[in-house]
Amino acid sequence: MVMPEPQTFNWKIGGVGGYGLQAASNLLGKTFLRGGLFVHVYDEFPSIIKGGAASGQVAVSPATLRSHRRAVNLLVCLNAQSVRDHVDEVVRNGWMIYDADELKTPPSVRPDVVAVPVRLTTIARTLGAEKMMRNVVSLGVTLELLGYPAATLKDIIREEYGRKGQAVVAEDLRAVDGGVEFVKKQVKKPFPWSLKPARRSSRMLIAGNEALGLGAIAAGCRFYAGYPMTPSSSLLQFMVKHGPSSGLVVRQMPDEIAVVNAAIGVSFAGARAMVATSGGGFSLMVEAIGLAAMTETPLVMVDAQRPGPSTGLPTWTEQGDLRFVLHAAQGDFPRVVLAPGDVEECFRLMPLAFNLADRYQTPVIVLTDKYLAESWFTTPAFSTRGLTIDRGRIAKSGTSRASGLFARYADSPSGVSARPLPGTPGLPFMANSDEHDQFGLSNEDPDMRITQHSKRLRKLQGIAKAVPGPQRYGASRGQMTILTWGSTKGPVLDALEILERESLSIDMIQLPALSPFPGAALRSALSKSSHVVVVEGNASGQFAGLVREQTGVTVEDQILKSDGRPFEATELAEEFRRRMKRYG
Amino acid sequence: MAKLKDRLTEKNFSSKAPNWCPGCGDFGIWTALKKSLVRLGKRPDELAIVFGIGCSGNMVNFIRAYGFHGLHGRPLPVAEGIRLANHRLPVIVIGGDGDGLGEGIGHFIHTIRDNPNITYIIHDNQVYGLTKGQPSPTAPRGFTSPTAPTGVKEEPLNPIALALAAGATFVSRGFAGDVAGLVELMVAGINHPGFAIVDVLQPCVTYNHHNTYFWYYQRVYDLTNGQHDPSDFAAAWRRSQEPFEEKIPLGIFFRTERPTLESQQPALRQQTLVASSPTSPPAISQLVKHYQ
Repeated sequence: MVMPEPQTFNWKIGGVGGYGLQAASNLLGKTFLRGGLFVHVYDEFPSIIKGGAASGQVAVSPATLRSHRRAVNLLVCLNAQSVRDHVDEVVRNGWMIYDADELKTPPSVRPDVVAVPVRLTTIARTLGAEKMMRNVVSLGVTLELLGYPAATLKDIIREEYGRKGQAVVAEDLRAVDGGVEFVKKQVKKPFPWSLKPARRSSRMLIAGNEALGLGAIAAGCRFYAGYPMTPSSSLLQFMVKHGPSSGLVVRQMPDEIAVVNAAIGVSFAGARAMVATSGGGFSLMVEAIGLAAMTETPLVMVDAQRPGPSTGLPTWTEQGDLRFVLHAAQGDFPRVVLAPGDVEECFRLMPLAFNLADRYQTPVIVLTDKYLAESWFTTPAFSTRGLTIDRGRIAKSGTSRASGLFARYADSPSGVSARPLPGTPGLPFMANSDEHDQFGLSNEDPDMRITQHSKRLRKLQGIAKAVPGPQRYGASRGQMTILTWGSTKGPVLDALEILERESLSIDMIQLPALSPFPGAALRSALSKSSHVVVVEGNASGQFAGLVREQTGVTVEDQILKSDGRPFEATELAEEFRRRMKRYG
Repeated sequence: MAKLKDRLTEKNFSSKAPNWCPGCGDFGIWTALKKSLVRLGKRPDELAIVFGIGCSGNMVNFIRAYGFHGLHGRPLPVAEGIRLANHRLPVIVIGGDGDGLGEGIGHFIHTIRDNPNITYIIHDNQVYGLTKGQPSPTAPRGFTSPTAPTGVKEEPLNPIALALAAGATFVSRGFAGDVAGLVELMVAGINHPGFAIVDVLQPCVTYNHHNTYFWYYQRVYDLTNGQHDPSDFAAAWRRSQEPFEEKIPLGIFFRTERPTLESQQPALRQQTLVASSPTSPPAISQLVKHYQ
């Protein structure tokens, strides 16, 4: 049993993969979003198409909410297993509704939990709907218990399922009504929580992958290629759905090696290209990262991490690829790794990634994870205000030299040299994966090697000035500082907010750019803190090691997690609370 | 422009002098490619050539065009990318048999499926020359080398039959010792609206002492003299199955047409991706609404 949090209401539906749990949690999440509330939708599911324990969660609050919650106020169980799996997560005096058609005998649960049998299957069938619709019936029950208008849910069903035809929509609407009617007629006991819609806001409920996709479209991306791999597949789906209408060519290709090489071809020819994958696919792409760097071809890559090694935990989350991504591919070259901490950063960092790739003619890697990529977060509506497209130095004219080739790789103080796009009259050159001279011709002369090698590496100096530095959140009183990166930002900030209500003041530093690493800025920021704690989702403290390498600061106190589950705010708050007693 | 094209010669396509072994079959392919481009009136800045890794790929240093010398086995997806970004640009791929039929065999099959408008010239010499003579996937059984001291045990790969079986729209074979014939194949391949495969038998004078120029001269014959009909798939298949050690048909085995990769992309109907690339962020408000 876990403690409830004031203001936050947490709903969870448990069952088996294929029961429509994700559909239910998304519908409910959007229903609350439309009521001006803050929503977070988090799903857990196994790596099989149908079957296996799965769940969907919707946390909702009138105040800012950035992550999921473990404590469940209302649990919906579609089968017996989900009762066993989740009843311990229900708060004291919390409620559980279960499908009485599925569980013939009432489940023996904690005495404090109010267990309400609802014949979800019967209700769905009586209304002429499919058994599949019992997830929607449970939404009607939920909204009526909360006193939240079901009309909003119905609007959303009409919008989202309209394309499935009027018959499907009508069934769904009847299923909602069935749930509402059940509560009106059968539930006499007052439900301990209520939710009232406020004024509809312009905020969005969006997953990291969708935010990356929007960011890429806003950045003028022209080509997206992918190979299905959780948790990157939903970005491929986003691009298939929205790319062509935005002028993109979107391709599912036969493997990740083809994917990344095709993107490099597109980019060499002069259009912006990106790819996304997860660790396994990224492994296959590694050789091509060096190719993009050596030929000085812009490239944007996304690695949506999942727990490794190997196939690992395909549908779960981890931040275990950090060191791998930072060092991917043989040899020295400027490595750029950005790690958005939330959906807003997913959106904003994509145009930056494309601009950096074009301006510095080098690969840029954006590192996310399953939790950020495939959970839904409430965020202010994205806008292209303030965004620019900078294609970097593109040679439109010039003179070819004695070899008849353009000096595409002429040395320069910034390391950047103008690139002609193939087809430009008079400027042919060779892009060469071999070490090469200024024309791109293979060259093994030691001086030329050093000239070209340092030209490429020099780009890092410019990139370092263009990437965001350490971001500090919360009051800085020099007591305790949480140092983190990536999706862990959300749970940490929520934990800090919980502790703020207890007048415990802790601050957080998050690094949206991990390479080039803002070593001096971070060292200076950390010097103000008496106690630093690193929080990251892997087993070996990869980020803490990087911090030590880049700043000389050893952070002994590390909160690590590698069980496939994301950090949870109330659990982190408890960890921080204990430390504040010691160090605060 | 027309005047310039009139003056176009093979020299326009030369950069450095080749450093292949004297007598290498690559010279014949290099010469034929330049002659083909002159014949077609393509200027060096009007086309892109993608190179694999190997002796064939070293042509990057000897030819003038917009060139991309990529990773071993991976020139085909790069070439597809170039075509998708700029489908007005002719794209030629130069690769070896180890590159395209060993490391990159998957791309070979899938590029055939995709049917992009690309001409793929395979330097097929049965060995990995640049790494000093190891057998390639087309090496005959019994071929000995430092890494196969007791002879190759595997069946050689038949690129012609493989391409036919995979559904290629242009399948041809040339011989580096027959530059004139090779020019005809390359010109036909570049003009072909789809993925054109030109498998070029290319003697490696240093490491392959079996498939020599003389050996080939004794076996090759011209398909067109044999009344072969390249629209007849069954006939093409029969010709592809002729025992390589006895007689070797040269020419176009099979030619057909089906929609190209590029022609089926809605985004490419009006203009190239390069031309449609925005210079300021496009509006996203309609997409944002999906999430509100």
